[in-house]
Amino acid sequence: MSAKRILIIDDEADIRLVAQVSLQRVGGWDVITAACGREGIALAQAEQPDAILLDVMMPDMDGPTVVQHLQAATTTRHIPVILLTAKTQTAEKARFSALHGVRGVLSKPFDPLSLPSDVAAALSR
Amino acid sequence: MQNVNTSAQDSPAAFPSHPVQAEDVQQGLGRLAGLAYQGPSQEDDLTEAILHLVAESLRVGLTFLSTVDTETQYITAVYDRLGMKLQEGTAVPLGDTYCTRMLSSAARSMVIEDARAHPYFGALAATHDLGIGAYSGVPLYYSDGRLYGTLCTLHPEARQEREGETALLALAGRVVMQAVEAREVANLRRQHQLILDHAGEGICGLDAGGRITFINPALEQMTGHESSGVLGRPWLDVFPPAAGRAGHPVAEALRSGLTVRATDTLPRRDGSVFPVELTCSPMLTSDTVTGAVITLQDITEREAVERAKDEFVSVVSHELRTPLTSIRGSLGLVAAGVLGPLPDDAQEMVNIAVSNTDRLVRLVNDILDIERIESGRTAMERTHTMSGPIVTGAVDVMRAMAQGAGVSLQVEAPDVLLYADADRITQVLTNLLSNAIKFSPPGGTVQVCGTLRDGVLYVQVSDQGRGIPANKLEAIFERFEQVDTSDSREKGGSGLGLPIARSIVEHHGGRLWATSEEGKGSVFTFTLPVADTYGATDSDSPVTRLAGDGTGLRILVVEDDPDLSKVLAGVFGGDNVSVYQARTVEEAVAASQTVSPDALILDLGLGEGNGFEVIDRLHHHPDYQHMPIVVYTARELSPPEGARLKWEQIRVVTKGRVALDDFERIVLDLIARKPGQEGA
Repeated sequence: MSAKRILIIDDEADIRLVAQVSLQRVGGWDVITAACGREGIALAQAEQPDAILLDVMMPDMDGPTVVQHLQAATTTRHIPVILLTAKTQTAEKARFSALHGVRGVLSKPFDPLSLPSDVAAALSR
Repeated sequence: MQNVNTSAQDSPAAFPSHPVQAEDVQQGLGRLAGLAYQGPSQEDDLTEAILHLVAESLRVGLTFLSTVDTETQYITAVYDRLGMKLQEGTAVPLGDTYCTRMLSSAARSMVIEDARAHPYFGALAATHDLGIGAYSGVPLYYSDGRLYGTLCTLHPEARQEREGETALLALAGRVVMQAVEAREVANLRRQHQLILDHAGEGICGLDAGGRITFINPALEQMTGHESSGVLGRPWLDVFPPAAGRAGHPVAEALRSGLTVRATDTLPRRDGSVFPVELTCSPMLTSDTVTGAVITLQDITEREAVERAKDEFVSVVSHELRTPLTSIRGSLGLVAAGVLGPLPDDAQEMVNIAVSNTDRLVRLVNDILDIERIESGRTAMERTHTMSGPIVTGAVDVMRAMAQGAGVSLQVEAPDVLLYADADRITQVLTNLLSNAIKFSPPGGTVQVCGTLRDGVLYVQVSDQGRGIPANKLEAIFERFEQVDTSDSREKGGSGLGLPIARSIVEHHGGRLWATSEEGKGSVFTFTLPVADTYGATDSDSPVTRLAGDGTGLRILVVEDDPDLSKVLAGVFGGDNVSVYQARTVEEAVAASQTVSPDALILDLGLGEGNGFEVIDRLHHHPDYQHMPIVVYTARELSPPEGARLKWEQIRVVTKGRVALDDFERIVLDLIARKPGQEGA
């Protein structure tokens, strides 16, 4: 079992599923998912994934706050995070990518065929 | 014509010393003095009384009053004892007339005792037409020296000037002018009152001590205060500023003598508060502030509209993209066969769905994009950057599309320094290239050609397509305009590419236009000003983080001395504070946009440009005009320099006067006071 594991945190079930299929079938990842920030943080601590794909806008806790929590805990601060955002402004993206622990910022909508390679590129940065 | 009123005593031969005549003039003068003393009353009655009085006192046939402009004399009032032919309301061209002669000689008065015998006046048409035997008159001037008109007498026969005649005319003239000026002042005051009463903006007058001398009805209505209740009270007592009095625009304007504009909140009489845009303009009399005028606009509605629009854009951005993400993602997976192969006809349908979803995504992106660019909410992130990599980068992006269409791309462009947002210029180029490729026939060539002329880079993208009719060359830059209505379906564009491209170019100080020869292709040309070499070396490293992890408070240090920056980073940097460094004006402005600092620490003596420029540019930016700024300087500031830094959110610290610990406290206090700051 050599496949790496990625945690998808997004409040939209449809998007979770699409990203999951894309990363599993096209990218060969093992995927676990969480539907909100709190669940995601708990899952990250318990499951220790190799990477996290994190939605920026969520009702309970926004992406940057989740990143702050992940960074605050010694058990999760090493896990690289890639943010997924529906915002397109370069200034906002720059601000997100300046957050400590964030490896990359990807835009919604994404192309499911290139999502895995975009994730891999961000992680190798 | 015989002068029927001429008595024996009045005959010219009896002049100059007949006692009755002298008394007439003396009486006239006395009555005029009485009128002058009473001050102006009913102007029409007064004019009539004066013309009457002058005619009777001087025993002349006719008296009249006229106004004069550059070409014409208008007879405004006539008192005619002897049925002479001058009518009220006559307009006489200035030229060969008595009054013209008097006015052109700049005399204080003119008396012609025997007009018919006079070498000049005897030959004038007026002398014969009006039967003028004698003339006397005075010019009438406003108190500021402007010409108003004339007050004159005419007599059908020759007559001798009477003792005191010109004095009487002059005094009569002055009484007339008193009434004229009083009327004009009253009119002006009425007009001003109407303007103030009907102005939509609130207007308030202050004396030098900041006490209210006047408020207009609009301001009464805005605030619920009545004029009678606030006159004489200090503005800052009636409308206590929420952020404190120090540095308040009104206090600042009165203190500095400079006009201050600000957005602020104003308390109403009932205690509720509303947002205003306020301009306080001091009134100066020989360098002393004698008062100020405040104009205020209630911007509640404008702010609400802006908020609603921002919110709408952000909602559209999120709400539309979320379902699009699922649709595009699931269709993409199905179309690519990730979930198993599809029958050919199903594959075709899914491909259509994918490509149209892409088009919808582009449309949403473009609509939001143009909305942001044109509303100025998205600032161009301009840096010093070379043009060559932008052009080749854009061409590389489009190469796959060109190959797919069987179109070859040719590039020839100089590599020059621009001050530009590289991503946005790339967007312009890819927009133009994708259009050129779309409208090229297979086997055609699309050329990108750059030339440098007079410090301006001209970039041309030309194709060999069908061309654009002359009457569409401008229309294609309008939103959703296509040369042919079938184009949007066939070519898959959003209809916003060209308007966006033009908007971007114009935000860079350039122009974008099209030329075309139908049937032979089109050329799109845009210009960009070439940057000075200054600052070129800074383009690679716009923002450096010196301390912290990017979370918590962000402080931007604008300092060209790296050692000093590090010291400041050491003072402020910590668990909850990140410190960023910028070294030039450009970097500071760019970094303010990328980092959105909570506060700026600024060295006024930056090497290139200077600190004032940073402040001025940030103050003109809606997002940063309230950013707290601590300015430090090695030298004492001159009073005008000091005045430029008198803003509520600016503190000035002189190097060597303040300990580092105090420096830190000043910065943190200032951040804590920032309006709208929700604890860090």
